[in-house]
Amino acid sequence: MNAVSKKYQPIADPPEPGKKPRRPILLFFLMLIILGFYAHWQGVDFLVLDADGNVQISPQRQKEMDERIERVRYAEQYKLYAVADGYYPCYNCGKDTLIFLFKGEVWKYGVTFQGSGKRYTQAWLERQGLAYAIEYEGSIEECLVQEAQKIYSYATLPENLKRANPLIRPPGNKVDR
Amino acid sequence: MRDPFVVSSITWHEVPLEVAIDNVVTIEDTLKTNLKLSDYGAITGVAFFYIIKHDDNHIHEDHFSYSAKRKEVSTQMRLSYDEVQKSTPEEVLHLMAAKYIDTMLEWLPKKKIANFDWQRFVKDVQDLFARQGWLQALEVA
Repeated sequence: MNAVSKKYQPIADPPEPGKKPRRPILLFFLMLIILGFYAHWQGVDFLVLDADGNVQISPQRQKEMDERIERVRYAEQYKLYAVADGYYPCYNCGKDTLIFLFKGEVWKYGVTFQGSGKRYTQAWLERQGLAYAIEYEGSIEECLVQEAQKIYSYATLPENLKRANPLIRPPGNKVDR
Repeated sequence: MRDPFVVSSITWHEVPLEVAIDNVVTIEDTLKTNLKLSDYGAITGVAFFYIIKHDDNHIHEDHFSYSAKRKEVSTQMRLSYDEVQKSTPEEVLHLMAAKYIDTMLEWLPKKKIANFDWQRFVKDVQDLFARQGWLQALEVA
């Protein structure tokens, strides 16, 4: 080693004064990993092992499933109808957005079940002069059949046939479903 | 809400239209004609739906809510289906009037609605219905 190279040999960086050791950072990452495992474990609390070691859904999920099946089992097919003579929104009147309905005439057929979006229907009752009549009670499948029959048959009702331009479906039903 | 006072019905289809429509229209028109909701404070709408259907149907249950955002009260309350079936439409109208007042008396104090004089509102509704002769049974009691 000559004098020059000796003079300019690389010098190791001296430790910075006050630099903290790496242990807390490692601890932090360790905690993150533990929390990750915990979160993952929490995320699958919908599964449990039974006495034979088989994977089952948790009692809570079982309860929720039973309640939902019970709710869907009891549905109803309803109609919304005019409480007074007047103009109501129409989704099947071509360019016209309103239709004149006489008291008692159908505005819409629908199906609902316990826990479904009743607020939507109630909002219609609040916004329009409509009343709600339950026409059929049963399973949701039965009610959907009733609803389909009534939506399609609406075209033949006297209240529709008397119009110059009969509607294909009730004024409040946007589609056949 | 289409009007400050909205009254309508959720009924089994065999309930006669005199009850399901005519009675609710009568109550709504009477409220709209004789009372001004803004006189009582901040509420802008009160909707009341009468539920008249079999007891084994739990899709529609008694409900009373107040939306502070819209400043609207919305309520639906059940009348006994059997009692309605054996009553005349006029008798059902009396049941409906009493139910309206009983519901407001029970629920408005619980909701603690700011800037709304619920006591004066209920009193005025009660006086109004009494003048129509709809609360005779209550007055006898």
